[in-house]
Amino acid sequence: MLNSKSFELKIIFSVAQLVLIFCFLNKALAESIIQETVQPKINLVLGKCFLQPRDIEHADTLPLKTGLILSEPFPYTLVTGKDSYLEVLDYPESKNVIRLGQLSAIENRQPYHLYYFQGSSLISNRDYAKWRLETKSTLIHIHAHGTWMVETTEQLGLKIILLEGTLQFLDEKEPITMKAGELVLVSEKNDQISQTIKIDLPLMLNTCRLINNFETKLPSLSRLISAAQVQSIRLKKRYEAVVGGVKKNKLQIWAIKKE
Amino acid sequence: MNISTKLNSLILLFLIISGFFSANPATAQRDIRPDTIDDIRNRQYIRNSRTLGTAPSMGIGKSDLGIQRPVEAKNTGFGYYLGFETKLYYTNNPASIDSGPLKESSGVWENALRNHFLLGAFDLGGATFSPMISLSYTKFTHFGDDLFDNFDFDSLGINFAGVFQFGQGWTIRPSLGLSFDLNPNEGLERQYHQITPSIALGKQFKISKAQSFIEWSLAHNFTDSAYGVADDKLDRFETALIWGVNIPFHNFELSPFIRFGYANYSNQDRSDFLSNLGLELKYSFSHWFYLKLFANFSSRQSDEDTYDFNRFDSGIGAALNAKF
Repeated sequence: MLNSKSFELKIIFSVAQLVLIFCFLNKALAESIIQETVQPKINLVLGKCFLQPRDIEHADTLPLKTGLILSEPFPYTLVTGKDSYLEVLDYPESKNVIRLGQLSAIENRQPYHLYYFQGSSLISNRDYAKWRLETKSTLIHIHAHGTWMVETTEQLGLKIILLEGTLQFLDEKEPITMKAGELVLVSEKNDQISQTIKIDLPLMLNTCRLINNFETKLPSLSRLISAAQVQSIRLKKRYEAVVGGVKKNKLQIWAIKKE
Repeated sequence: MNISTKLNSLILLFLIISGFFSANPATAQRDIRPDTIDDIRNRQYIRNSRTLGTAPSMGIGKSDLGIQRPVEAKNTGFGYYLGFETKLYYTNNPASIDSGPLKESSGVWENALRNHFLLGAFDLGGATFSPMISLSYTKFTHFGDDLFDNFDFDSLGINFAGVFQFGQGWTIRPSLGLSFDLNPNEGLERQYHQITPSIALGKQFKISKAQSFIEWSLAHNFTDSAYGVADDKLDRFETALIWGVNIPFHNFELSPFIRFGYANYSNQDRSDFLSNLGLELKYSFSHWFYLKLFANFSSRQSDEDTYDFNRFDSGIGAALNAKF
């Protein structure tokens, strides 16, 4: 009697084990299939844009065309010419987008690892992820989701503007968190991060070529608009100035000439 | 607005409202609410005073990131608006009736003190939510004909609203309004009140430089009347569609609007069709002071002919506004 009971328990236990293993394998298999099927797709090319694999000896420069699905292994560099713009999105999910401004060269080294030779980009990423952003003389790690823009400065520091979502710098002793509509400079000296400056979001949305020069609609556009609306309602004061370039690690603020 | 400007506006406000609290007895058609259009215009003023800014007159520049203009913003967006408006106008039918001895013209002096508390702005990720409480006190004084001495009344309005704003200018505004009509000659005795839950769907869009808005609203008015009218006789469901355009040029703003409404009375066998056509020309001396000329035509066609009327109002107005 006892033997038959323990036999039944053994059978139940082994069936449960098998079910668990089956579920685990299913999940892993499903995730690997999903990972394999997500590929970068060239969603829009304006002007002249290229893909340059790092291994120049074995692969040629590839002129980019709208609709092309990239199968190049990492690392490769996306390059835009004068008056040229590029939009790449995750295919087939289409919820994460990277846009390149004119005269940009950005190497895609790994997923979430971008090396900026020069230029500007807009990243719209719905999932929280750790990003590594790098130039010849700057390296930062951020934890972010939302939409943000990155531009290299003259001395290859980085200017970062968060348009919506949240963005946190991870290398600091006390993590710095940006809010929508804030700008920071990352200096090439010790990757020092400046104080945040609040920027007029509605004005920026109206004048930003990385948003407006594309005929495709940014997946996060409604979030950008709501972030701008909230900032408008919370607005206390607009300064009679605009942020200019960066010189000697200092942000240039230009006064607006009164008419 | 600096301190001296605020002080000046408060002094002006005090001078204009001196004599504000004096009046006569009253009776009028309580279901014709006089503040519908002003409410919409005030909400627009509050919204636009926050959202419209002058773009610096300079090129976008080399950067593809766009113009980066530093601003200062509050953490929550709490705001307080104080406004005073005075209007002096002619009306050809103050009693809003079809015919009879009371169908005479008169003058109206209308003074309104409005407080709006914006309780913040919240990003819902693709939409914004901004709750608002409004408190207003309006005084209607008739002059030019003794027939209308009893038509004077004060109106106290309290409104709780939450504005959901979506992309492309769409808004949804659920609200709860309370209105009390008071008799200034009887110790502010309550003559009528209504409680109005409502919901409105609106859209703002641009036509060239002009800002246009369209709003469709659904409301039910739960009423309580005095002076020989059964308590809840004026309970009614109302739906209305309003379309307006604000056309700015120099310091002027020309604002035509048209409104159609349908009212169905719960405790009467009665349905009304209401229409309004209006035009306002505003001249702004600053963002806190303006003068205006206006004209409104109102009409009601009821399935009970006795409630039909046509009315034309035209006059001038001035307003002081401050935001904190």
